[in-house]
Amino acid sequence: MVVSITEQKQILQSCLSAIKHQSNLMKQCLNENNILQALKHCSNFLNELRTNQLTPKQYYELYIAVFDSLETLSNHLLNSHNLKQHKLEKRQAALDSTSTSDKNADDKSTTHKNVKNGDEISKNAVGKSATTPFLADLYELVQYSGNIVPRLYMMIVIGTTYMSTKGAPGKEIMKDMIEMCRGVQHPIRGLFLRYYLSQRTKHLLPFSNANDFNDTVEFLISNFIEMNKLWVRLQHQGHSSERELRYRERKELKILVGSNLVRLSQVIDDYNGDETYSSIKYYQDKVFPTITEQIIQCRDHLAQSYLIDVLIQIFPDDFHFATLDSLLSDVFLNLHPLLKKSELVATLIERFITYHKFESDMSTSEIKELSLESDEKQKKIKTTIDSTQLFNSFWKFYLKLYELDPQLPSEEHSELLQSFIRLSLTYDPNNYQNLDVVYKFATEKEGQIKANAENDDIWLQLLIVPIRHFDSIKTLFKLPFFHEFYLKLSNKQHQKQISLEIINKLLGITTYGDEDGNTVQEIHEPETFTTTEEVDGIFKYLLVLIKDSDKQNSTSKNLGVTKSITINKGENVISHEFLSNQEKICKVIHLIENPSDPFKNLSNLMYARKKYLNKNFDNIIYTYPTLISRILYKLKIVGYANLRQQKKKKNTEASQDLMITSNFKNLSIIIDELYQYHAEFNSELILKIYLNAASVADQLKQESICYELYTQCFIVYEENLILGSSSYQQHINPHDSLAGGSLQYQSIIHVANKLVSARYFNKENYENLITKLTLYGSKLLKKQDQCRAVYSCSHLWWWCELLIEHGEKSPTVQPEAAKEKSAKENIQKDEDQSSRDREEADDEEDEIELYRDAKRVLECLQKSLRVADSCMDPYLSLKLFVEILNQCLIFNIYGNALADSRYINGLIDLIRTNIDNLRDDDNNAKTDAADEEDDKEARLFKQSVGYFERTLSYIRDQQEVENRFEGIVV
Amino acid sequence: MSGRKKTLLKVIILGDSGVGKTSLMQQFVNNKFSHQYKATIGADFLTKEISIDGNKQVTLQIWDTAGQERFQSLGVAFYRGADCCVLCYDVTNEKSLNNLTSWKDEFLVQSNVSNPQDFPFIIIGNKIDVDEAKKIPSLQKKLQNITNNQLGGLNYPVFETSAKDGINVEAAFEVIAKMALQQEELNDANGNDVSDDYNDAINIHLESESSGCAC
Repeated sequence: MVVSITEQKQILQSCLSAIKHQSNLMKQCLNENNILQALKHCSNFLNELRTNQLTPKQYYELYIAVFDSLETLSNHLLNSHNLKQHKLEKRQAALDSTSTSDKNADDKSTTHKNVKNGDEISKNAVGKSATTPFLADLYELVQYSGNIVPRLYMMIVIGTTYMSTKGAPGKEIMKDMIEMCRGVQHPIRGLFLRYYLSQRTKHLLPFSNANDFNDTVEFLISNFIEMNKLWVRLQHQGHSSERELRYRERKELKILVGSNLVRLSQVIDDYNGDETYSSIKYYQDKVFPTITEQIIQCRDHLAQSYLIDVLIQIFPDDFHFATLDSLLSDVFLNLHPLLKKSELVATLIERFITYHKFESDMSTSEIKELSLESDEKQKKIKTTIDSTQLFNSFWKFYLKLYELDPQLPSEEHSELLQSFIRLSLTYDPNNYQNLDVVYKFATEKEGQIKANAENDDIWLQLLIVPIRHFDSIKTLFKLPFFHEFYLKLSNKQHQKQISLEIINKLLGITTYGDEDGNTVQEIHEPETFTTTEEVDGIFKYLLVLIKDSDKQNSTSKNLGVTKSITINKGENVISHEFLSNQEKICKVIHLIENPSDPFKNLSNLMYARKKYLNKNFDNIIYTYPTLISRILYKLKIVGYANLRQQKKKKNTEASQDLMITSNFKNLSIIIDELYQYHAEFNSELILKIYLNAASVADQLKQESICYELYTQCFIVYEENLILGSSSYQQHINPHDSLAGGSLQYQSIIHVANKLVSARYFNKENYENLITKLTLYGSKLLKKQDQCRAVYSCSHLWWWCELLIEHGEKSPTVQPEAAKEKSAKENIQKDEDQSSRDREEADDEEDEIELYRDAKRVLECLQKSLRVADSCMDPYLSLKLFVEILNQCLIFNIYGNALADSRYINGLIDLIRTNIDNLRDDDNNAKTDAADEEDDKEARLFKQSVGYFERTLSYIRDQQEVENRFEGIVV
Repeated sequence: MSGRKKTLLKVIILGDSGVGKTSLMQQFVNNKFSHQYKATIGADFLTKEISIDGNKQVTLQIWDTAGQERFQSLGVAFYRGADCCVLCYDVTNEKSLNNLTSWKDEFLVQSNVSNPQDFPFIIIGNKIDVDEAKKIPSLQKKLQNITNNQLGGLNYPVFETSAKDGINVEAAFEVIAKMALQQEELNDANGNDVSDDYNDAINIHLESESSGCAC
């Protein structure tokens, strides 16, 4: 019979109103104490439950409505029973007033008698108002009801009410009711009827002694078995086209069947029994075998999966521990072959995990308070859970399962193994053997099972779970098969995912979705890696990221989907994700740390590069800078320590020195490699890296290394920067002396900046370098660049400070003055020092020797003046003059005799003349309309004049305050 | 009392899985508490008779429900006719607190009560026996926020209980009973008499019983 949904709704509504109507009528009759009529109405509304046109959910609505009404009936019956009882007792008491003391003793028998003679007595007692038969009679009476569904419902409501009265033959009624229920074999009606039976009897079940208890359990089990049969049978009713529908209906009905097990669990809990009774044992011996046998034998997929789920959920953990082996190997293995065992196992294991957490909470927080209780509990924990055995039970089950069903899908394997891992991690977090067993098995078998790469993602979780769980990522090192299994993943994306997971863990970033779906990040203190083995252990998981190439990202598929970053002047596109991965690798490089042995640390860093980082030359540009700066940092530490030692002990540890030198050489090789592959787009960066290395080498007195590094800088400059188009694509303002300038100019300034603080070159080398640099400067393309580069370079000839420790002499200056103190440097000194000046620094007591060459300074200044003068733009010329003036002032302050007042005065005059000339031009031009171009020039002019005025006022101030600049005419 | 019929009050306990609904009910009805967690399958009730204000006897029918949806396959028809609804959360579980609103909404939609605006709800925060450190930080503020913004600014009574130690459980159910009684009396006043005027048109339906199956 097919009924449309709207029809069903109509039917439901009319049924509900019929029930409401009839139940109101029933209540009216009850108020009038007309029980027979009330029962008639009751039967009427119960008839509604005979429908078979409704879905289980709708039927449930009817059931609830009926249930409520029957509850009213039951209450009324109970009340009037009690009332009568009361009156009867009074009468009884009046009749045989001989003794009140034995009344209690007789109570049982009297009640029984009363029940039998109820009708008669009630007529006598209540008389005219109504005929209220006693419950036993009513129980008999309703048996004559025409239809079986109403009949049985009424029977149950009266029977259970009867049972709740004192002295009722409870067990007989129970037996009778459960037998009678067999009469309804229509699945839905039968299920609800039996559900009603179980709901009504739940607080009446007798279990005061072992006998009663057994009967009760039997009652519940038999109800369960019958309901399960009805439930399973429903599947096979009706046309085969309705199979899906039936399946859905059955799914809805499942809780009715499950409720029996719930009751059973409650009863077992509630029964105290005698001393020999143990609820676990009872469950194990009686309940478990019967129930599971039923579950296995019904051979129904839905029934089995649901009932096992319920079984796991509603019986306490102790029970499951006790029956675990049997549950796994006798039950799980015998279930429907298509049933997903993994789900059941997962449920069971989740339960155990929750239990474990709870128990450990309990034992930490409450043991002291509840000493008695917890003692007991502890004993329980010890007796029930042996973690190794627990794992072994599951493992045994797994092997058997695999043996029985070698065709088990990969999903199942993966899910099962995941559950086992979770279990092992919870119960036995330090037992890595279990985990390795899992991974070993997975590794060996994955080859056989694996059909294609798609399966990979099933295995992915298997690897991710422990990563998230471990406190320390180093735990992974103890699992050799973890890596092997990792390598078996054929999908690189998945390997990447795991690697990222490891990195995140490593960096102390825990990301997880919280319950509301937000991602929460927690940052922990990351761990460091001190040994080569550890470096190996971790970098082998990073290799996939190191090798990762992001080229495919530029395909149209990804365009617009992923945000991308343009690199290499638009020739390449990379994703944010890729960049962030590379960044993470860099962060891991930072974790290679060994404070106690810096040389070991250095060799680890080198090792990481040699074995891992250089596996994809495209990517070294992202990782090498970090690596290099780490190496430099470490070199600095060992270098300084070495120098200090040398100074203290005098005797040089040549070996250390040598090690440092060789490390520098290796470092140089690394930078070379970077240069080799990335010269085209990243020369600037590489130049800076060389410069940094050179500057450190100088500080560590590695002169020859340092010299070579500077030479490398010049090579980079000549090969790639001198012609390289500027990366500063935007318009350069020639007047801007700070931010402006071409890439070439900037490079020269960078080198000059480092060279100006270099102190450990011998004179020849130093002069070679600075001469060369100045030469580069003078050959720059643009006048202003030339001018500025040259005047900047002029400072290289005029040291202002020593920058090294007191008592040390720079090898750059004449060794003759250095005497024994600084004799340790065996560097050939240039004997020619005619141009060297010695000056006292401002506040120094000692005479400090500084490298100074006034003549060369002046040459440079003259050169820049010439260049400035040759500028076509008079405003720019003027600006440059003022800039040069400022340089001269610095030299003057630091005692350059050639930049004397006469020279400076000359420069000031020159500037003044220029200003006057320009002002005249300007005034002439004023007659024209002041268009924008004029304005701009005027502004530049004003700026330069202002700059000049400020310089002059500075001179004046200094003359007054510091007694400087004597003889300069302002 | 014998002259009057006993009042039956239906109370529904709702809340997320694991907040302790069953425990609360067990503690109130049977004074029992078990550490073992058993999921509730479907819905079930316990009854308890109490006297309100010392003179009025009522029977509380307390429905304990499954917090996990998969154990509620038959729907929630038993919400119908409820006189009071108890919304439970766990003071250590912020999600359960945030879900109160959806439980309330779900209840109002499904129960079809006549006065959703004034229907009596009560809020119970269970598990106050646990360590302070495990509790939701700034709980009061969050709770207030929820009652003000999401539960319609209505002043539902709030109780903090421990089903384990039996703290405040009795008191909470006393209030529940009072509120339920009020609701029941309100329903009696407008509802029950009206249905007495019910016409007999429905009897047509009764005649069709022969078409059904004979069982």
